[in-house]
Order: sequence, then structure tokens, then C-alpha cells
Amino acid sequence: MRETDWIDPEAVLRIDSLELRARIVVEGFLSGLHRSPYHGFSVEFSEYRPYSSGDDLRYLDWKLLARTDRRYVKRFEDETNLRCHLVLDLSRSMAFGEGRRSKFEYAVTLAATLARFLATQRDAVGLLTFDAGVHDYVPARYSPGHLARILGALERGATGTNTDLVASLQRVAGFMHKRGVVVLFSDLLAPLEGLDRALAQLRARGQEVIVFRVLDPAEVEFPFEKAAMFEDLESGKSFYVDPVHATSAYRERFQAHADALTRLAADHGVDLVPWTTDRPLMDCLYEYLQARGRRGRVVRRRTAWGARG
Amino acid sequence: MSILFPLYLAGLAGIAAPIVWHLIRRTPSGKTPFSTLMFLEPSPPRLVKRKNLDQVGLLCLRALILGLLALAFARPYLRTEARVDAAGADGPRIALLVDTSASMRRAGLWDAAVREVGSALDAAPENAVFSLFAFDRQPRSILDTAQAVELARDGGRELVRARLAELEPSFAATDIGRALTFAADALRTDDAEARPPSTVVLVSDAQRGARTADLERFDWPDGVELEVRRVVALGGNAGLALAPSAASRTDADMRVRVTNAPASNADRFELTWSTPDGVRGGEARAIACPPGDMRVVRAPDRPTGGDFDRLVLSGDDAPFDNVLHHRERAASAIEVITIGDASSPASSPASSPASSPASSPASSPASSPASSAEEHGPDFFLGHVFTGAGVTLRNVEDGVEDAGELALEEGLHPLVVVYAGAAPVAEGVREAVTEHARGGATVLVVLGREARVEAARTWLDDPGLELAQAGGGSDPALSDFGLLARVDFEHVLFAPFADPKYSDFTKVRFWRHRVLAPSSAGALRVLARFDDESPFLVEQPLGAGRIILATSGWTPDESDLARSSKFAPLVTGMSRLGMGRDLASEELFVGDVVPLPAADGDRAMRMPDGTLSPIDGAATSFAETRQPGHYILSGAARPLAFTVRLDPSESQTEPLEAARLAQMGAPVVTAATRAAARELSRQERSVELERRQKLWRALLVAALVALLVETVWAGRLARRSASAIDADAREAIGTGPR
Repeated sequence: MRETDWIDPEAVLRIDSLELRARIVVEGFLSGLHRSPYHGFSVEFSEYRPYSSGDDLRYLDWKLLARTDRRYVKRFEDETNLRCHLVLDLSRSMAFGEGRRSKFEYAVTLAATLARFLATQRDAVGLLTFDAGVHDYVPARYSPGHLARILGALERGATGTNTDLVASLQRVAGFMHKRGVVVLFSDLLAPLEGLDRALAQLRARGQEVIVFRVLDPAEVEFPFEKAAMFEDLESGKSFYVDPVHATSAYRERFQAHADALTRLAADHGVDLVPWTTDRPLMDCLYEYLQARGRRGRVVRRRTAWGARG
Repeated sequence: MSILFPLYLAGLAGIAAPIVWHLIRRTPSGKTPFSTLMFLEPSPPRLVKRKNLDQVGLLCLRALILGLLALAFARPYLRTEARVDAAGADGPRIALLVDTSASMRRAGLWDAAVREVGSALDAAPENAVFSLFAFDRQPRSILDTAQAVELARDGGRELVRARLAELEPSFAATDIGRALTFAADALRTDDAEARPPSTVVLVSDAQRGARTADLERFDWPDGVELEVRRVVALGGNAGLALAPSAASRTDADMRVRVTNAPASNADRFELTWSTPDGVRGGEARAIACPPGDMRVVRAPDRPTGGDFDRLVLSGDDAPFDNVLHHRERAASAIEVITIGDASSPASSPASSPASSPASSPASSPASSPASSAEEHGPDFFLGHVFTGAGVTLRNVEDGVEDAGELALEEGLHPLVVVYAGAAPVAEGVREAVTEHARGGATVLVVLGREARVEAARTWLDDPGLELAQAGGGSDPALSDFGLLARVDFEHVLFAPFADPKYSDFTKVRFWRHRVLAPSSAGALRVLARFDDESPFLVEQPLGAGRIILATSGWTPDESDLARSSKFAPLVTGMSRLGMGRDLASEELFVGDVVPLPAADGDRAMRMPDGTLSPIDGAATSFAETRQPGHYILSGAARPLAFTVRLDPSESQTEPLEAARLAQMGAPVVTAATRAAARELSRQERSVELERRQKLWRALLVAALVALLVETVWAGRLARRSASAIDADAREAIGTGPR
């Protein structure tokens, strides 16, 4: 499969058209529009500062020392601003799709589009896939051919079994050493116990978390009419369900779960984007970036409040 | 209608299966994958009404076939009660056999027995006919079947209750064997066809002391069952009895046996003498006898100064067997008359073999006394045996004219000894002696060395009698002695010697004896024979007494008999024969029949309770020994007193297992086996009815017919639907009939 199969060109165009105006966040998506808070080893000189004991001697300006007998340390601007990790749920529940493309295909296309978009912006993109544990990990990097690696990893399909969202997010947090963005693609159809702690851990490591909750419309509406044996894709358990009795209860419980998830995301300043696969891909990225643009600062402030409280 | 194999009716469920199948919405076979079931709950399967049952008739027909098949396999039959004329039909015959033995006197047992009889009456079928028997050591019929049918309409229930109320336990022993055979015989019917079901209901404590010997050799009649309704007394029982062979002993060495049942609670008892009024006296003897054990103890000394005629055991819960009546027996008086020459034979020229140096070991130690004894006549030795108070021994010359000298005193044990010598006895003497024998005395005729055959013929009623001399003679050889080879231990005279300890007569040597050859025609009984087969003692009954003829004497020149240990018991036994049985020394039990001497006038028996029971003068026995105690016959020429005691076997109150009765061939039934038998017979009747009616055949034929109809019907329906489809198809392609 070629990479073009995964990337929705229209969506990419739409993002391109938006992208220049959507640069609000400090560690925004596009490094070309804002400066990175990181100083590091780079060709672009930033400033001198007096050497203090403990500074790395590599950065000591020896020539200046020879000339002036003063010790100064050179500082450079970090060119790569954004380290974005795409985290993709591989569990079997993602393979569900009622008639249309499955949630997994949808999520992969979304991730590939975003990876392509970020790559064109020369941002470091990484990929981490998980089911019950971490499945595949491609570190965030910008280099020629890195995108091909990510797309190759994305092509492996939903081979996992059940989801252990909490443990996987905790592992992801372990990989993230630098501030950045974590974009999670999952249906989040799992118990929420412990998710609270995992998200807090990610946020505490300075990660901006964006969750694309990819759902099939059938999972929201439960449109079944015929009584049947329903089989859980993850556990393989099955039992007899008569929709006549079960639908209303299903909707109530699903909504309660979604509400709890929304509350949890709000508490931790996580951007939760519920989305169904029947809506166009481009709308998803477009609407997300719009919404993010509207409330980016508010989110930061709430995060600061949350850190204090 | 009834069903033989109801289990096959489960096949009827096969009808319901397809209908229920239609009514149940089936669980979907395919599966619908879904991402998660965390928001779902299993739904219960639903029953829905399927209204699209087409071909209901066919369904019903097929259900009918299934139903008929199931019913045919279940083998139905019509229950037709065998209607029999109630008036002519014999109901079951039930013989109620009630134990009235002494052991039933224990507390509560008799009431329990009455209750058991009542429940047996109630449990019996309505048309049952009852008979009532009571038993202790003898069974007796209280109400027989014929009476019950004749006198009562209810099979004799009320009559049985009334007669039972008159019964009470006796003091006699228990003979379950005889009672059961008696009752079973009463129910025995030879006609096997017309035999109504019969049951012997035994109501008893069935204690181990009960005798069962009669049952063991009894051929139990067919069709008669035995139901044992046991009454049980709580606690144990201690019994008191005279120790064996102590009956004839004196007070000084009187021994009693105390038994204690295994289930007993008590193990310490006291033994005291008591008067008829219940006054205890003398020292009490403490006895420790653990349960299940037995003790033989010396009785305490009988106190003086009162009529202490019974021993009482105290410390036992069941008092019925705790009294032992005992009176000291007066020494019996004996009168012995010897007739003839009782002088010493030592003056005779014949030397005694016993005096020879090579005499036998038995006689050699008797050196000086024996040699002095050799000079004595036979009376000398009799005098040593018959000594003491109340014993008289006198010699009467042969040929005495005065009949008074030959008269015997009344009430004594008489023994007349005739020494028959060469001369025949005087006629007057012979007549007097024969008269004594007729009157009951024992006459011992000792044939002397010179006696001739006429002497023997005088006494014995055997004209073909022959006589010869054997042994001794002029030249007696030591090896030429005779020994007693065959002794008739069954005769009452030798019965005391029957025990192997005492039956050895080989030490008694007979140096001389007369060879008597009785002809077979005579009514003579040979009591003992020598080793040459010639008789030593010959008995001829005469009237109430007897004549015993001895072919050898006991003086040392004749034999060692007088010096052997057999002599005294033998001659004393002869004297006792003269008065028949010595009742006072016999151990008599309740229910025993006591022989009475004949008497001219009426007599009266004083019973233990003090009442006087008149006895007919001609009566030779007394059977009314119904209570333990002392009986005294008054008004008779010779006073007679005897003591009747409780049978010690009654004290063995441990229960006899019903299985023991079953082992002896009695068909013991319990409530469980009776119910099982009833159920079995009901089943057999059902099978027989079904076999006769054979309804299953009709059902099978009906099923086949229904199957035929179903086939035709279904075939027609199939053709119709096929032609309809055909028509539709033709219409669709436009080739239908114009």
C-alpha cells in the first residue's frame, strides 16, 4: 500500500489553508510560525551568558576566553520546536465498522494525514501503537524518510486484542522526555478507572494531549433491531441481546460513559474530540484546529490553575 | 383405567416437543460482532405465540399417533375388581398367641401385651376372623375360629378383647415352640385352593429362656405366616434358683444360683430367709453379681423359731423370680426285712477266693477288717448301709408262722430281702412277701449257692427258667471270676450310675454266680448281665412293686460287691423303689404333673396360698401346680409334701431374636415384608389383568390406522401444494393453460 492511500489530499489541503492562522499555542504545531522555548545546540546563535560552575564546558566560548579572559557560554536557538507523538490504539474493538471503513482505517488515515502535515512543517513526528501493551514505537524525529517509517508502521493493521488504555498511556509517559504534543487515536471503549491518573502523568510531563475519540455511528446510536448473539470483539464473550429491551439501556450507559470521559478531559486540560467515522476526515482536522484556536489560551490557563490546585 | 408401565407415558412428551419448539423463539445461531459489550446486558429468551400453525389437523393426527404409541407401550388395562360374595368369602384367619408365662409378670409387660393384641385387632382387615390362644409351658385355646364365627359378627374382635381381659400371666415357664406349633396346626388347612391367608400373631416378650425345641422339628404349614409382636420390658432381671443337684441336699450345704441379665442395672443383691407372711429373718447374704454373670452361693443359715420356708432375693427390679421356696427334707424312713438264713457263710467248707494270697488289688488292702468281715453274713453288710434314724432292719426266720412279723409299717420305704437257699421258702411267707410286692414294696431274692431252679421259679413267673452254677465251685481259679458286662443304665435303679464317672463296674468281681437262663416268653427285664451273658439282676414287676432276683450275693465269698462303692447306692435305690418317686427330693416346676399314691377316700391338697383343693380318691396325679410354693396332701394314708418352684429358664429374660424363629422354619413377617408382599401381589394381579385384556393391541392397530390416514392426507396435501407451485410457475412463464 502506498502512502497516498492513507492520506486524504483534500484534508491536507484544508489543513494547509488553515495552518498559518492556527498558531496560538506556545509549542504550536508549526515551528515556522513561532519560536521554541528550548535552547540547545543549533546553528542559530541566541545569546552569551556568564559561565557558572557546573555548565557544560562544551558550550564555553574558548576564543572569547582567549581574547578577553572572560568566561562566557554560548546559547543557540533550537530549530525543531514541536515533538509530536501519534499514539494509536490497535485493539480489536477498533476493527469494528458497520458498513463503512472501520474505525481503525479511519484513525490510521487521520494519523497519516497529521504525520504528513507535520512532516511538511519539518516537525519531529513519532508513532506509538498499543493494545494491551505498547506494540510499536517510532521515536519522534524529523529526517527524510522518517515519514515513510511511520506510515509503514501504521500499515500493520489492528492485530491487538483487548485494550489496556491506562497501562499503555503510562508507558507512553515514560517515553516522553521532552515537552510536546501527544495525539491519541482511540475509541476509549474501556473502563475509565485509572485513566485519570495516566492523563495526569502525561500532563505532568509537559505534554499537550489531544484525544481523537474515533467511534462508529453504530456505537453511538445502537441501531440494531434484530435480536442476536452479540460478540465482544476484544474478549470474544458473547450473549443473547434483544435490542427491543437493550437499546435504551445501552444509550444511557454509553452517554454516561461519554460524559464521564468529557469531565475527565476537562479536568486535565485534555482536548477530547469525539468523532464518528461517517463524517469527512477534513472536517475533523479543520474543526479541531478551529476549536483549538478559539480556546488555546483558556486551556493553558486552566492548566496553570490545575497545577497550582 | 390403570397403567402397567407408567414410565412409558413420558413418551407423550414427544407430542409437546414440536409445539413448544414452535412457541420458543430460537436462540440465533449466528453472531453479531460488536466492539464492546460493556454497555449491554444479556436478554432472556422470549416465548412468542406463533400464529402461523398451518395444517393443525395434520399436527393433531401426528400427535395422536405418538400418543397412541406411547399409551400402547405403557400397557393400559381396565381395573376390574374381583367381586366376591362377602358373605361366602373367608377373611384372613388370625391366631393371636399371647404369652402368659411368668416372665410376663414383669412391670408393664402384660399391659403392653394387651395393647399389642388390641393393635393387632385394629390392624387386621375388616373381614378377618380371629382366634385367641394363650400359652406358657402349655398352649391352650381361649377362643377358636369356629367360636369366633359362630358367636360374633365382627370376626370375634370384641370376644377376643373380653377373653383377653380374663387372662393373666401365670408362673409357668415358656414353651414358644409348642405354642407356635399348636397355633399353626390350628390354622392348618389341607385344601390349598380354599385356604384363606392365615397369620399367627405372637404377642410375647420372647425371652431367651423360652423353649423352642418343638418348633425345630415342626413342619410349618403352607400359607400360615408368623408375625412377632414383641413386648419389651426396660431394665434387667436377676433370678434365683436352686443350684443343680442341690435339691436333695440338706440345709447345711444348700446352694443357690443367682443369675443377672446382661441388660441389668443392678449388680448387688441380698439373700434372706422369709416366712409366708413376709417376715425376714436371719443374716442377709450380700451377693455381687455383675450384669450378664451368674453366681452360685451358699444359702444363709435358716433362722430358727419361725416358718422360714423361702429365700428372697432383694435388689432386683423384677420380683417375679426372686423367691425360692425350700423346706428341709425330713430323712426318709426305711424298713428292711430279711428272710432266711443270714448267717455267715464262713463256716462252709468253701474257702473264699478273697483270702488267697493272689487276691485282686481291690480286695487285698482290706486285710484285717475284710477278713473279719468275711465271717459276717449278708445282713452285716446291709446293716452298715441301713443305719441312722428312721431305718429299721430285721431278720425273719424262713417258715415263720406269725404273719405280723412280716407286716410292713405304713409310710416307710420297704425292702424285703429273701435269701433263697436249698429249701424252698415257706408258702405263707411267700404269699406275704408277694403281697408286699403287690402293695408297692421291692422284694430282692438272692439265690444262694445251694438254691435250685425251683427257688427261682417260685419267684419269677417264667416256667422255662433254667439255672446252673458258674464260677467258684470246688476249685475256683482266680481268673474264673465274673464281671458285670452289660448294665441297663436306663433302669431307675442304675440311672444314678449312668454318669461316666460312676459307671465303671469292672472293679466288682463276682467269684460265684448262678447262671440263670430265662426263657424269652417271660416278662422279665434283665438289669445287669455278667460277661458270660448270664443275668445278674432280673426284675419282674408285680402289682405296684417288683421282685428283683440276684444270681449272686454280696458277701465276700460270693463277690466284692459289698465292699465296693456301688453297694450302698444300689441297695438304697432298691429300697427307694418301694415307694415310687421321692417327691420331696425332686425339683418340681410350676406346671409339672405330680403322681399321687392311690387312696381309698377323698383327699385335699393344701395349696401354697393356703386354700384346700379336694382331690378325688382315684386320682393318681395332680396337675394343678399353678403357683410356686409348698403343697401338702392331707387326708391320705401316707402324707405327701412337695415344693414347686419357678422354672429357672424364666429368669433368662434377654430377648430371643426373631431371626432365630425364622431359622427354625417359621415364616416370620414384619410390617415391611408384609407391605412388600402386598405390593408384589398387587403388581402380579395387574400384570395378569393386563395380559388378559391386551388393550395394547387395539391401541397399536389404532395407531397404524391413524398413520395410514396421515400418510394419505399428507400425500394429498403435498400433491396439492406441488400443483399450486406448478401452476404459479406456468403462469410466470406464460405457458399456463389457456
